[in-house]
Amino acid sequence: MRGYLAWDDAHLEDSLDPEFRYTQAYKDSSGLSPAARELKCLEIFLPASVAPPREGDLLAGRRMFRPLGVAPSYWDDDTDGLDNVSFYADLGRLERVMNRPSQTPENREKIAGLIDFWKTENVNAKVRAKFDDEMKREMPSDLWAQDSGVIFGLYRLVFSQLDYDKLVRLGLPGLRAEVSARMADETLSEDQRDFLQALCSLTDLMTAILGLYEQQFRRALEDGADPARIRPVLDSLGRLQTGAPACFRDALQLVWVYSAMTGGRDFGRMDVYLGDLYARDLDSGALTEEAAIELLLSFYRLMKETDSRDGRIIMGGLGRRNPENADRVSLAIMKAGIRFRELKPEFSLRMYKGLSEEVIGLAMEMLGDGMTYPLLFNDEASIRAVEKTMHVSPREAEQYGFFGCGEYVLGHRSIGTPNDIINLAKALEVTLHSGTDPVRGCPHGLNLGAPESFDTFEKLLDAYRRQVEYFTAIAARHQRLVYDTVRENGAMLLMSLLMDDCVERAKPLVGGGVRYLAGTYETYGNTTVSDSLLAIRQLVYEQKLLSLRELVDILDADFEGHEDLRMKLLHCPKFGNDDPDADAMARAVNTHVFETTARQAQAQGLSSYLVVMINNGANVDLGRNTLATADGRHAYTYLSNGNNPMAGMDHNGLPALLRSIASTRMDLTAGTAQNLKLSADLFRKHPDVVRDLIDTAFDMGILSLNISVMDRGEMEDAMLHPELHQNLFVRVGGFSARFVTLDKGTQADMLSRALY
Amino acid sequence: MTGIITDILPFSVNDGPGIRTGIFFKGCPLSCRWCHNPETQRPGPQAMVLPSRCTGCGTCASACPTGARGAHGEMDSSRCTGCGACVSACPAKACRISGTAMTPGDVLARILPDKPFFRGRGGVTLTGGEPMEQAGFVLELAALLREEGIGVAMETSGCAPAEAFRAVLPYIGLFLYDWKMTDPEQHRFWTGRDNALIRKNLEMLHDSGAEIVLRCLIVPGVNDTREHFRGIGELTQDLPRIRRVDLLPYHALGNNKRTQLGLPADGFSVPEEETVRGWQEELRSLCRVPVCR
Repeated sequence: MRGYLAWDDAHLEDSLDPEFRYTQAYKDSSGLSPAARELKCLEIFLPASVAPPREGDLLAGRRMFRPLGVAPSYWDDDTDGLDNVSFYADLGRLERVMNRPSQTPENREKIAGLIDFWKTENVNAKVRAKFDDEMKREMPSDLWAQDSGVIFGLYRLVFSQLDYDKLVRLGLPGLRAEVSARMADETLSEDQRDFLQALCSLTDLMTAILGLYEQQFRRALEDGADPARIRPVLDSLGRLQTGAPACFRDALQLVWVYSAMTGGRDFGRMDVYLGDLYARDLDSGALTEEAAIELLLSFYRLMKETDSRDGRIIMGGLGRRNPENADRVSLAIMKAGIRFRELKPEFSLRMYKGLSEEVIGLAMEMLGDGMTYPLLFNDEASIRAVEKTMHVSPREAEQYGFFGCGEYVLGHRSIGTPNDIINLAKALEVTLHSGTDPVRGCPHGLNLGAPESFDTFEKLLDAYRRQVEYFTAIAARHQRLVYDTVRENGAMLLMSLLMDDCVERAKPLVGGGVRYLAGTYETYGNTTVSDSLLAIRQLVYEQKLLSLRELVDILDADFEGHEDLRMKLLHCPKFGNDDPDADAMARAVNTHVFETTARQAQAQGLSSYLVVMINNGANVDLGRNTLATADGRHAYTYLSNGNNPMAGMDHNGLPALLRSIASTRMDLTAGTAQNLKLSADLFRKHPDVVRDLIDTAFDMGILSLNISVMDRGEMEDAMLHPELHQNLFVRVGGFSARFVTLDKGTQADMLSRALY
Repeated sequence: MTGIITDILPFSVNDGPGIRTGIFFKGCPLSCRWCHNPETQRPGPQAMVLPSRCTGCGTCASACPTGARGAHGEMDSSRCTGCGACVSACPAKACRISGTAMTPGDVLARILPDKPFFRGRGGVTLTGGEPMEQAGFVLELAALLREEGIGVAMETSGCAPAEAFRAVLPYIGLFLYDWKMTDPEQHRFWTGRDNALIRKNLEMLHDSGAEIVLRCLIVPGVNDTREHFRGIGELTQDLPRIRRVDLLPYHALGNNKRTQLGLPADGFSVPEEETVRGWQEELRSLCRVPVCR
């Protein structure tokens, strides 16, 4: 899997001209403001990313990412898979192009020059160069999937939900007029004027990009493409250069091009911004549902073939200005999704009491079909949680959006990118090893004493907490440092134009523009820690079966020769079974990290800084560098995932599981996603039971449900015969995946989780 | 009053409508050879051993006062009194006692947390074993559940005194009524009792207005006969308020429990999917009501 679709190395071998011009423009504009400099670079980078249409495209907007550019996050698995923010440089790709055997020596030298320049000029590198001593010591590596450590930094501005509703209402000319009007304000500072001027030029650049796509399609027409397919695209591109979208097709077209150029992956409340034009076109007879579905399918294809991550579409929910029209287009959006039957887009439904049963019914059909979509959100509870944690009014909270596995943001009003992750099990591990990382064999974290010094459980718990607090403070500083460095180097113009209140304040996104500059913090191994602490309390401190030192030694040896003790540890109560002790410990561990995290916001000048308990595959990667844990887990195996029990440890039935989950203070987080695996049989034979289950889970306050419908037998067979199960989709948490493409560790993790 | 309960299973979705909590009663007047809950046949508590955990250390043998456990932990169910000495002794936690004495209040307390899931559609299903072996307990529990507004279904073999059924009838919203074999002698051969009382109770419940779903477990080589299928069809004709026939193909999950009880495997074979589809079609042609799986 690669991040964005990029030109391949062979293509780039003799077409790195834009990179050279881009670099020159960057150097030449060093005296300009960050906004003006970014614009100069975009003017080269964006047109060079325009790619020709493919047969069957009903919408324009294919783009290829280049090894140098500006993006909220660029990543390339062929290089290192890590996110790169703002001015990025895919040095790995440049090196591969440079080292191609057919490369000329002159070119090689020129590319080496590029690499040398961008090695320190890319924003990721600039962030790292500004690390303070503690960060240098505790965050030596960014390779969170490979290296051992308690915390890791990520570098990105992901998942912002731009105001596509405004884009559709105003179009590019309307946006330009709005910015121009704002420039009439004589009290603006030079910087502010400079920024607004860059935004104006940006609308011109985007208009020019539409012109480039128009040329591409005209060429296709000349090359013999079907005029019935091409002419409507040309007409639409023409209209959009001079006005706002006039029909459903225009709206889809403009949103796609804007999103593709931004490198955005989230489409926000699509039902709202498409609903009115869809209903009008349908009622006037200008559009049929079938034609709309065809256009949506083309949109989904572009999405799938441009970028491998996310692609969230939100439907439903309170706070829509046009619920009826929005519901009508939701049906078309989902019908196209059922026909598309791919991992993207990530359909999500905000379910509230009173949402159209027709919409819910189609969503259930989609889930029952094994598509893992839509993700279901408990709308009322989510609004309450957002209101409380983000300190906003109920009206603003209604405009919440989410990304990945359910991390909340405020649609086009907040940035909440998760830029740091913590392995809580590792935090306990370094605490038990006097401030060293036993895997790397070097100092890591605080030395709070040897195991012998923790003569009461409370002392141990206190030490673990101090360790988490220490690392969390560093992580929060890292989050801030990323924002500051982005601000110093660029303006994120494409995002700024469609995020409140950048135009109004005449300030770039993270330079005081966005209304809420927030952050989030991904925690992993939460349940591994709470189950471990409870086992330690019971066996070491209450039953006094062995000393803490003896236990640590046994864990270091991965239980070798102590299988009996491992059994005893496994038999201690575990989260996920409605057990009061296990749930209380989980609540204590979770609430501690939630509150510790939230406290960092003020120090870092963020509107909020919150935990997201998400469940992607990071629990598997982080587990690979974590020794055995006192819950009975073997060394180097997966950790617990999100707000879930340790895989296979919930054996008290679904109601007990949901009660445990609901006991977590989810209302103190920016989202906790809950995976639920239901059998295909249950969906097929008992749809009413599924609905009762969802309604009850939401009544209990569970914020969201990621439902996978599956068959354990099919998963087992898919591990043996992957070629026969290409269509088996599973929800990993933050994303859905084809089961057969997951690594064996993740497959085993999924298989060991309970299926109901 | 206490009853002997082997299990309380939340989120049961195949034994009545909606989300249900299943209460498994211990003790059964029949001894069906294919029984998939063999631990519920005997009335009193008894030990079970998990082979995957048993290390064969023999600690249980020293602890057992009745000699029910062999030198390597082998189980002789017939000598087990369910005293629990092996459970306390076992270092590997391989032993457990099936069957706990509980009051109706105890059972209710276990059910109540699941109440939000019932949503007026689901509820509690009394099953086992044969709940009617503990009819007095059923009556008390059912009355408590009614007070809580929780609906009750009962899965029954039908083998209990008619007056006991009459007493519980007002509390039971749905009977999942087993119909194992049509031929009385065959019934006696495979289950230990003939089906005269069962048939009579079925008619009585039907005539009293009870909601009834007929549950037909079909075991290859035992009751997958034209004659039995025709018998099922005739029942649905004769007793028109039977709402549905549930076709339950034999499955071998009971063998796992038989091993834990120290019993040999039951020796039946699981039918192929195609065979089951054939049964369903045949039954559909003979029955007046839907035949579901």
